[in-house]
Order: sequence, then C-alpha cells, then structure tokens
Amino acid sequence: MLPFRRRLSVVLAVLAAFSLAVAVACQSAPAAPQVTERVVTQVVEKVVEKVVQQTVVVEKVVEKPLLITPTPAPTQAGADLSADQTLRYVTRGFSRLDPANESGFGRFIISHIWMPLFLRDTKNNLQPWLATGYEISPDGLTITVKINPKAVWSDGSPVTAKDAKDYWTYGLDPDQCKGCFLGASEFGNVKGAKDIIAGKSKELVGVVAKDDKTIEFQLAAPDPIFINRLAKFNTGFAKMDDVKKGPLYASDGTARANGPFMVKVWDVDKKQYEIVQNPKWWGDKKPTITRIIAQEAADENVSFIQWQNNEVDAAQWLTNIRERIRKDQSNTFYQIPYPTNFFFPLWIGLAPLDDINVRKALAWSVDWDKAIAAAWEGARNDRVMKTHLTPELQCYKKDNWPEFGYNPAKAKEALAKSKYGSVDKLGKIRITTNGQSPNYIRTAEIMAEQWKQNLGITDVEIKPGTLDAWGQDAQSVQVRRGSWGATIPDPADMIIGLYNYYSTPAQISLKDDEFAKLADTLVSMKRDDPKFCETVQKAEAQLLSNYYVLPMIWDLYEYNAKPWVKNFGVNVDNNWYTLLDVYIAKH
Amino acid sequence: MFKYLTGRFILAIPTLLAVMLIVFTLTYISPFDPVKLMLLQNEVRQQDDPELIARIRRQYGYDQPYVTQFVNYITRTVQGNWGISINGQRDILKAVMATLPISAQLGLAAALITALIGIPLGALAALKQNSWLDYFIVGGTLVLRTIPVYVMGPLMLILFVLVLHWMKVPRGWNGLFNSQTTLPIIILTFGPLAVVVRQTRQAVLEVFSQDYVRTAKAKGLSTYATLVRHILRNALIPVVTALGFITEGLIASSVFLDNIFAIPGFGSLSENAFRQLDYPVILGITLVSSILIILTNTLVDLIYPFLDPRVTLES
Amino acid sequence: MSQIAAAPSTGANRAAQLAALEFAQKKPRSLWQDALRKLMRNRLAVIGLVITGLLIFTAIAGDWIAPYPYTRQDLLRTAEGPTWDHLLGTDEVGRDLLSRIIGGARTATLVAFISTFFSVVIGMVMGIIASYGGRWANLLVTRLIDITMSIPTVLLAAMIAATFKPLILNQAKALYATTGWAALKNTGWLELLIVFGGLSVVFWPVFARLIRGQILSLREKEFIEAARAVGVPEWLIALRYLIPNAIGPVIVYMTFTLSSGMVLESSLSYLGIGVMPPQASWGNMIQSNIGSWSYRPWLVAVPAATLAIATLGVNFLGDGLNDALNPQSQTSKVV
Repeated sequence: MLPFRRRLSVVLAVLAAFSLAVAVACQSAPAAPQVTERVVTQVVEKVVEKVVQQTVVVEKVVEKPLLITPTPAPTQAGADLSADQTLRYVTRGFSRLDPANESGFGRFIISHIWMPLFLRDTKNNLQPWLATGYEISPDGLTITVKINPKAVWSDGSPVTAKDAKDYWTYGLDPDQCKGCFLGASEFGNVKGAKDIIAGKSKELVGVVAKDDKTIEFQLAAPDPIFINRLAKFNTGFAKMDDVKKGPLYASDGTARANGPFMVKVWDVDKKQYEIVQNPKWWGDKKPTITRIIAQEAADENVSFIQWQNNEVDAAQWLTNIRERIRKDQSNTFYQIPYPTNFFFPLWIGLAPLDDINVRKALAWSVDWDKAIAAAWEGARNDRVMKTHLTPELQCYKKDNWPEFGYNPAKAKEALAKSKYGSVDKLGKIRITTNGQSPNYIRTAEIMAEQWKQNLGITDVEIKPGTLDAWGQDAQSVQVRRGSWGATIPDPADMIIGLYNYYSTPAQISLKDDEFAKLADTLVSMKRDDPKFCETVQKAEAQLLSNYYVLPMIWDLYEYNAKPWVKNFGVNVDNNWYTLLDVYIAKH
Repeated sequence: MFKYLTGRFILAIPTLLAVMLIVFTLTYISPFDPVKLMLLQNEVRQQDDPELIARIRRQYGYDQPYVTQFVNYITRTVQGNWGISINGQRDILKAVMATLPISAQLGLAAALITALIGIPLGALAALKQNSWLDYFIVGGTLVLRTIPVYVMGPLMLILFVLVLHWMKVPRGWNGLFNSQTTLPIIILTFGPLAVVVRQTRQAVLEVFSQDYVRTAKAKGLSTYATLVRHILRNALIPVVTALGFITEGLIASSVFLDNIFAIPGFGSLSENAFRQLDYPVILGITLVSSILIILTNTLVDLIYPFLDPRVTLES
Repeated sequence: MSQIAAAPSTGANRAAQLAALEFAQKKPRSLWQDALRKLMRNRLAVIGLVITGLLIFTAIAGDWIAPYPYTRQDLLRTAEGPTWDHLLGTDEVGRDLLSRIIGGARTATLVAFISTFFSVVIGMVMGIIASYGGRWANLLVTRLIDITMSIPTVLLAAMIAATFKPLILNQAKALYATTGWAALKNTGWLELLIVFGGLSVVFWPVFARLIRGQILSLREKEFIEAARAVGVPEWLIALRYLIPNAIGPVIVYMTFTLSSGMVLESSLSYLGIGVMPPQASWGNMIQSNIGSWSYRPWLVAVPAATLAIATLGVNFLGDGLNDALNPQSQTSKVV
C-alpha cells in the first residue's frame, strides 16, 4: 500500500507539472508584444498630456449618441494622434472581393478601393468620387460623365473610360461574372445592358468611351435617378487584366486599385484581409489610417470578446449580442442609413395561401408590436414593419398598409370567408427562417403560437436555417423569411425593385396590374414632381393590399466603433464614407 | 509484417470504393438537386430557366446515367481532379491539402494529450475505486464531455481572455507550437478524455481481477510492479481500440472549433460544405475522412499484438 | 497462470474437466440477482438509477406534471428570472422554463433510447456473426464496419435523414390515407424515429467492434479453452460465457451512446434535420440563447445543467451496472 501511495504522488506530480506547462504555454507568447505596446503608449501619453485636454470639447460632440449618422466637421487630427494608425475590424464572413460581386461584408471598404463614379455621403447627398461631374442632355437620354483627370491606378497607369466599360461588360455578363450583383437595378436603363444580362449579347452598346476620361451613357428611357445608380458600390470597377486571374484575384495584393486604399493580402484561409494605403493615391485629401485589418468571425460570441478585450477598434454584429452595450457604450453605435424590410414573403401560389383571406387572417391574428418586442428583446420596438417605405425614405407615410393591424376577431372572419372555410382544411403551413438568427426563429415561433391561440391553426412546421433543410418539401414551403433594402435610397426605386423581384416565378409570382401601371408612371417621374409622393404612396398601398408578406422589422444595421476611432461615419451603402478623415486617437 | 501491411492496403481499396459508392449514391438519390442548389447559392436571378439548368447539367455531367457518372467520378478522383466547389469556385483537392495538415496536427496533439492525461487519471480512478476521487475524476471528465463545444469555446475564452488576461483571443493558424493552439487543443481533449478515462478505469479493474494478476500478487510482487508489468499493458487495449473512435470525434468537434478560433482547418471546410450541401466538396471530404479513419484503424490493429501477444495479426 | 491452461493439453483429465466445469458454472446462475444486489450497494449507481428513473418518469408523465403547456407563450413576461408561478423563470418568448425542460426530457429520452437500442441490437448481431460466422463472414462484417466507420457520423446521419425521410414520410402519408390509423396522423414522432434511428446506422459499428474484440480476446482465455477442451459446444460457450463476459464494455459504451445521442441531437437540429421548434429540446434551448448568455445566463445554464445531470446519471448507472454485471470485477478491489 504505502510504496504505491508514494509512487502515486509521483504520478500526480507529473500530471500537475503537465497542466502547469500547459498554463505557461498559454501565457508566454502573447504577453510579450502587449507589454511593449504599453510602454510605447505611456511614453507618448506623457508628451501630449496637455494637448489632449484641449481637444476634449470637440470629442464630446462626435461621441454624442445619434439616431441618424451626422456629417460633423471632421475633428482635426492633432496631438491626440496615436502612433499606430491601424484600424482593426471584425465582422461576419466575407467571401468575395470584387465590386460587381460584392453583396455584403466588403461594403465598408470596397468603394475606397475600386471607386464608383459617385458616392453618397452620410446624409445621402451625391458627391463626386472617381468622377468630377456629369451632364444630362435635354431629352434625358444621354449622360456624360467626366472621370477625374488625375485618376491613376496603383501601378501609375491612368484610369480610363475603357477600363470602366470593359469591367461593366464583364460584371453584367452572367457567363463571366458568375452570380454577380451588378445588374438591371444599376444598368437596366442603359442600352444593350439587358441583352447582356440575358446572355444574348456581349457588347454594352449604351456605354461609349468618348475619350480616356469621358464616358457617355445612352439610356433607353429617361431615368431621373440614373446618377444615383452610379453611386452604388457594385458600379466601382477593377482592372480587367487582374479580374481575368479568377475569382480570388484580389487575394495576393497584385490587384490594382484606383482608390485611396488597396488590398495588400486577402488570406482566404485565415479569413482576414489587410488593406493598406494606395501609394499612388491621386486625390487631394490623404488618409491618416495606414492599415485596416479586417477579420471574419463566424461566432459572434468570439468577436464580442475581442471587442470587450479591446482587440478590435470597430465591429459589425448581426445578432442581439450588441444590445448589452447599447446603454453603457452608446457612443460606440453608428447606424447605417440603409432602409430595409425584414419580412416573410408568402408563396401565394401554394395552398392555402392562394386565398387572400387566409393571408389576411394570418397577418391580422398576430400582435406584431408584442411579437417584435419579445423577439428583438425590446431593441426594435419602434421599427415594426408596417409599410415597405421606412421613415428614413422620402414619401414615407405612416400606416399606409390598408386594413393592417392586430384584430383576432376580424382574422377569424377572414378565415371563415376564405374558400377553405375552416382550420382543418388548411393543411400544413411551413415556415423557413432562412438563417439561424434567434430573432427570426423567435418571431416564427410567436407567429405559430398566436395562430394557434387566435385561429386554432396547429399544423405549422418551422425549420430554422435555409430552404435546403426542407429537402423534398422545399418546393412546398409557403412562408420564407426574406429581406429587401433600398440600395438606392429612392422610394419609387425601392418598391418597384421589390415588385420586380418578387413577381418572378423563382419568387412568389405576384402579379398586380394596377401596381405595374403605377410603376410605369413612377419610373420616369421627376423626383421633385408635386405628384411624386402621392403616386408612390398609392403604389405602396396597392402593393401591400395583396397581403403577400408577413411583416417583421425595418432593420437598421449598425457599426460599433471604439471612442478613439475619430470621425467615423457611414453612408447608405454601409460604406465608411468618412474614412479619409478617420484617425485613431490615443487611448 | 510487410505482407500484412500490403494486405491491409489492398483491402482498403475496396473499402474506399464502397464508401465512395455509398456517399455518391446517397447524393444521387437525395431529393436535393445540385444544379438548383448551385443556382440558389450563387444567387443567380434566372433560377428557373430550363435552358440554363440544362447547360449546367451538361457541364457537370449530371445528365449522364448513374453508372457513367460514378465511373467518371472515380476516374477523375484517381487522376487528382477532385472538381471545384459549387459556391467558392475553389479547387477541392487544393483546399483539402491546405486544410488537412492543420487539423491533423491539432488532432494528433489532442490525442496525445488525452492519452497522457487520461490513462493516469483512469488508472488512478480504478485504484481508488468508489472513493470520492474516483467519482470526481469520472464525473468531472464526463461533465467536460457533455458541454457542447460551442458553449465551451466562449466560456474558456471568457476565462482566459477577460478574467485571467492570459492571452488575446486566439485566431488563425501559425504552426502547432504556438500559444494560439493551446485553447483549441485543450477543448479538443475534453471530448475524448472521458472515454479514455473510463476505458482505462474499466480495463484496469478487469485486469486486477484476472488470475495471472492474482498470481503475480501472490508471488509477492508489489502493487506498483503489478500495475506496470501486467495491468497497464493490458489496460491499453481498450484505450487503443477507442483511439479509432476518437479520431472521428476529433473530426466532428473541429467543425465547431475552427469556427470559433478561425482556424483554416478541415472542420471549417466541412462545415461550409454541409451547410450549403456542396456535393463535390462533401464527396471529397468524405473520401479524405475515410482514408484517415482507415489509416487509424490499421494502426490500431498493428499496435494490438504488441499489447496482447495472444492476438495475432492474421486474426 | 499456467495450471488450468496446461490441463487440457494433458488429455481428458477428469479432475481438470470437473475443475473447468465448476469454474465456468460458478457465475451465470446467480448473475442477475448478484448484479442487482451489487448495484444497490454502489452509492453512485443508486444516484444514477434515481436520475435515470426520474428522467424516464418525466418523459412519460411530462404532460401531467408540467405546470404549463410547454408551447404557451406570455409575450409580456419574456426571459424572467424565477418567480412563484414560474419556478425556473420564463424563456425568450415567455414560455415556462420548467415546462420546457420537462418537454425536453421527453425528446432527450426518446432520442437517446431510439438511437442506442437499434445500434446495440445491430452491433451485437454483427459482432457475433463476425466472431462465429467463419472467415468470410468475419471479413464481410469487418469490411462493413470499416466502411461505416469511415464515414463521418454527422454527415452519414444527415444524408440518411435527408434521403430517406421524405420517402418514408410519403409512404406514411399514403398509408394514413388508406387506413386512417390515428397513429399516422401526426408524423412528428415518425420523423424523430427516422432521424435518430438513422443514428443507429452510424453507431452500431462501435458495438460490433467491441463485441468482436472482446470475444476474440476472451476466446483465448483459460476457462474458455478449458470448457472447449471438455467438449462444451461452441454456441453454448458463446451464449453462456462469452457474451455475458463481453457485455461489460458494451454497457460502458452504451451509456456513452445514450449521452452522445442527447448531445448529437443538438448538432443535428443545428443542421436543420433534428428536433424543430416549437418542440422542446435541451440542445435547441442552449443553442437559441447562447448569444445572450451574459445577460440571460439561466436560459443557457438551466438546460446545460440538466443535460449534464442527465448524462452523468445515465453514465453512473452504466458504471454501476458494469461493475455489477461483469463477473470478473467481483474481486476487483485489490488495492
């Protein structure tokens, strides 16, 4: 017994030593750089102590929590300038880095790498970006845009009109740019563009390179907001010689940029990119930020810990994880003025939703205010989707959805009036949340429960995740979560785009001749026409009277940036519009 | 030995073929249409265009009969052309070759540490059978195993990063001998640790009751000498058996780990493939996992006779 | 160690024959009574038995003991802490957490038992065939084991579920249409059966390998050789000595499979093929609240703790059963 016990203690000691070794291994490496960092900052702090105090007043103005992103006069970088001008950013996954192919997480920077001709500022005003200006012919069919004569690529060669035309031809062609987003909503009115999108032509006839710096757009019909379309991030262009290298052409740092920043490396495996200043940047205003490290974190719990540990300066989260810092750190929130609808489009071709009375019953039997308050933990109480147009958009009219509202009695009547008559004949209702977000899943669960309470519907099946999860049943899922945003902040463009998208057979095949007629008028209507808003609202009400969606929220995306990120500002495209003014202050 | 190994590898070929046949058949008869998925995932607007669908079907050879498709698939795979993923348009073989070594290193490190910690703990639990130490070891490792990786990951991060300030959030891959791998490896060991502890405990208890151990004790050998000479070697048998299962467990939990720590490993490749039902990638991943598991099992069978002379290689 | 083993080699030695028979017959007769007695003496095993019993009871009687229906929501009282009318508080959409936990117990139990039961049955049959079916059967089964074990668990389960579920459900629908059997009206349980029955297609090789390995190693043991030498038929040896002796590791692993089933259930739900809301499952409950752990910790902690306790209970019971059932651990307290 005894000798064994002694031996046992040896075994235990070895174990303990092992765990100690593990602990030491954890500790050793990362600690070293942190220490040096701290030393450096302390030294700088002493030198600039006085000046920091002077700038306090200005800082407070910037840090005020604001609902709509302001364009304050930029704080001048002074002695509070940090020695290291690296901006570290974390968000969800990014998979593409190509302007025509950009759909989401690269938007913050892409217009600063491959510049569109124009760019919207934080208040939605158009500003010259790669272009210096434009001219519209009296008939509105010819638009001439001048590229900035100083504009050069990062290899020093001039940016030409031909570069733009070549890239757009590629971006519109479904055979070349697979699954790309550049399309009808940007170039639909340009002669020849629709043929390329349909795969019938390879020539963008409506874009003419008049000379190296002059582009002429020839439109098929007048389009009052065409310049707005040229401000969208998808219309930025890269050099075709680079693009031809393949979908990951921007990964090795050789891709030429024409904006103030360029990609140094996009490490697809590490899920990280490093963006640096373009050494040949031709603009008058020079950036202060020298480097942006953008990381992808699929698990938002992890990126939130990075934020709490000050490992990142800016972040974008999609889940409610940010709610817990909304109060304490309200000065870190920057709302993106991108008006969106998050909703459940109803597949109106599928029984029992082919009867509008059933759809009405489903909409009226849910207390949406309560549902959204619960599902979004109170963070979106004033953003319950009650119309397509959001309060940020021109022509927004409160409660413009005919008859919409919580009313169980009316819902029951509607159901009784439908051709199905009673609950048992409805059959199964299937819901997919198209994503794992707890908010969507909760909303779906609440809808199902309220249908059960108010209408007696019990045969409801919910599947979180994508449509794929339904397998063979995918074709019969009637309620599928979707979203729509006004990428061009124009009310007519938003609802017409929405209708055009959902009227296709791949979507819900909604057909509304009344709306289509109104849409035709709206397309070419001048935005300052006194009848414009009235017509938009009429069209919106007409569209909503089809009861083809169940509402959720008007979401507003947000960025979070630490207080020492000065002059941070965002435009409608999620783009860090004020990036040239941004600097990292001492912290 | 050489003859045995050759035999095993020859046997492995039909096994692999069978695996490929099963998975290929499952994807073939599955109600998911790869072409439609492809259009859906690439967010192509003309999703119902029959001409487009027919063209893609032709391009990928999905219009061929079942047998032709399978033969083509095998031929291409053997030639090293594993195809391109549906969404990312990446070369699958290249992606596998880039990710696999990383996960393999993590997995091996975790397996080694599991054995190093688990076997002594299991033996200790057996020696102290039905004491509180026994309960603590068995119960504690079980609790670690029960907590899902996606809960454990953030919990450990909070502990090490926010509370103890021992490290920054570890991200990415900079080689195995790097502080960044510490947390992922620790979490990886939590799954199999309970298995190894219990298998060892069980085996040690059983060996204790064997006649030859009793004989050995009767001959006057000390408990410790008995433990080392007779018990540990025999106790290793079930543990080694379990190592085969553990390999697979490591593949599974690396799916969540890669996600949390942004490790460009096999797990993140698989997760994306499963999520998006990326058939070409799923087929490639399955093939590689199968080769891995077959290798582990061969290794297990090779180690067996060394531990238990009564089991011969031919059996 | 060589006395008994040496005996058969000297021929039909009557004394050795008797010794061998006595040795072999000592255990099986009172095996189960013995086991029960030993089980009840083991503190942890009794705790495990109580927890497992409670789990099964909750699963069966859930509807009667739950204070509220587990889907009823109160949207004005979401994510509340414990109160008198909601003993464990409410969840993110205002459902009674205790009732959800009870509902989850049913799912967990069902899932664990379905997947384990089928895999043990298949695994035992295959293991025995491999050990006794001769060279070709052994080869075939080991190949089949290798093939199945070579495919990652989650993937195979997912594909089986995705491929076969629609087919079987359509059959069930057709059957309901013709027969009108009430059991087929709600196909929710059928889906669970398919998905988690599918898991047994993945789990069985573990058992088959264990059985085969045990039998292979036991066959070389002295008392078996002795029994063989005195002419006890091979099938009787298998039935009376080998299988009861091999069952220990199977039970150990079975408890692991039970708990793995519970844990895997959440992964499968995550991939969209497991238990779907508003059905209650512990895995889903953890999953849907993991993002808000810091300000609603109990919504993660309660299901996670329940899962841990249930798993521990099942495992402790398994340990106890193993100590009790395995005849060789009779005198295991050597230290």
